[in-house]
Amino acid sequence: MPRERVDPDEVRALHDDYAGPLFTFALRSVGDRGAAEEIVQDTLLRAWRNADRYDPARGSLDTWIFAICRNLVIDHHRRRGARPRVVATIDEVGHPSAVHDELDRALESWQVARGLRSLSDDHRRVIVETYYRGASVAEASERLGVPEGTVKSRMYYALRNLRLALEEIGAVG
Amino acid sequence: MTNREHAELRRALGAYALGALEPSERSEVEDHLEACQPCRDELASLAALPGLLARLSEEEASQGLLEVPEGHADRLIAAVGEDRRTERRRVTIWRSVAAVAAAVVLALGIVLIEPFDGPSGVMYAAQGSGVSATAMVVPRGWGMEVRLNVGELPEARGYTVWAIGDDGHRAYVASWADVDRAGIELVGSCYMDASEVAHLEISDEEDRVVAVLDA
Repeated sequence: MPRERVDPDEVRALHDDYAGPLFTFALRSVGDRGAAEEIVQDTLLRAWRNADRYDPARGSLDTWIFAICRNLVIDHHRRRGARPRVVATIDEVGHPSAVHDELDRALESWQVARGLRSLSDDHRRVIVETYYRGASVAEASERLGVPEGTVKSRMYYALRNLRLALEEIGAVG
Repeated sequence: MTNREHAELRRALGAYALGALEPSERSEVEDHLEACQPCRDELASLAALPGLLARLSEEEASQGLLEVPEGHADRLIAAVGEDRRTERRRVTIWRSVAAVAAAVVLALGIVLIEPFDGPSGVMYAAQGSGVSATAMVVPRGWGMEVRLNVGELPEARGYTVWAIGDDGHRAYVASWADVDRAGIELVGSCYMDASEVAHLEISDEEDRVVAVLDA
C-alpha cells in the first residue's frame, strides 16, 4: 500500500532505529563519510518506498533493510571499480546467519560508539589514551597533564558510566 | 585494610580492567580482590567492557566517526516528502497523456492540457520502433520547463534534448547519460518561449538526432 501521507514521526522512527548501525556498516565498507551518508539515506528511502514489498515470511525487517544497504555498498564499489572492503563475499551473502552476524557487529559497534559519546570529554579521553593507545596510567598522566590518581579515578568512573550508558541502550544486560 | 586503602584500590579497578596498571600495582589490586567480595563484584560488572570497546578502532573511538551526521533524519523526511510529490506529478503526467490521446482522436494539432493539480503545458511525444519519449513543455516567466519521460531510445553514450523554434533556432534543454534502465524522468529548462517551439529533438553524443518529439 503506497502511503497517502507522510508522517514525519514514522520516518524519524525508522531513521532512529537503523541509521546508526547502517552508517557504521556503510562507513566501514566505503571509508568515506559523505558516501556512507548517501548510502544510508538511499537505503532508508528505498526501505520506506518499498515497504509494501517487505515480506515478513522471508526474513526479519532488520535483514531486509540491511540487504538493501549492502547492495548499495556493492554498487558503490562497482562504480568505483574497486573491491568491497568489509562486505561479505557472494558466498556468504546467501547465508542469513552471516548477514545477521554482520548486522549485529555493526549494531554493537554503533552502541559502543554511542556509549562513549555519552561520556564527558575527560572520561572519554582517558579511555582513548589507555585502552586504544595503550598508555599506562603513568603515561596517560603525563599526556593528559593530570596526577596519576586522577587518571585512575577517571578511568574507574568512565567505565562505570559507560556500563550504565550501555545498559540503557540495551547493549549489555 | 583501612577504608581509605579499600577506596583507593576500588578506584584502581578501572585501570586494572583496561590493563593500564604497572605490574606492582596490579598485584596489589589482585591481593585486595582475593580478600574483598564487593570489589570482586564490582570488577565483574566491568568485565564485559574491554571486549565491547574492542569493537571500535582508535579513530572511531577518539573522533566520534560513527556518529550519524547531523540533520540526516531531516534530510530523509524531506526526501520522503519529495518522493510523494514526484509520484503525484507522475500521475498528473499520465492523466495528461490520456488527455492528449483523447484530443488526437478529435484531430486537434496542439492541445493545451489542464491537469488536475499540475502545471499546464503542451505534450510532445515521439513514437516509433525502439523510440518512446514524451515531454511536457510548461511555459514559465523565464522561458519553459520541459518534463521528460523517456521510455526507449537507440543506444548511445549520452543524450541531449533540444528545443527547435519556429524559425529553426535550436536551444539546449537537458542532457543525460545512457543508463541501463528504462523509464527515465527528468526536468530540463530552456530560455525559449514555449509558444515558439516547433518540436523537440533528442540527439546522441555525436549530435545525431535519435528522436523527434512532436506535439
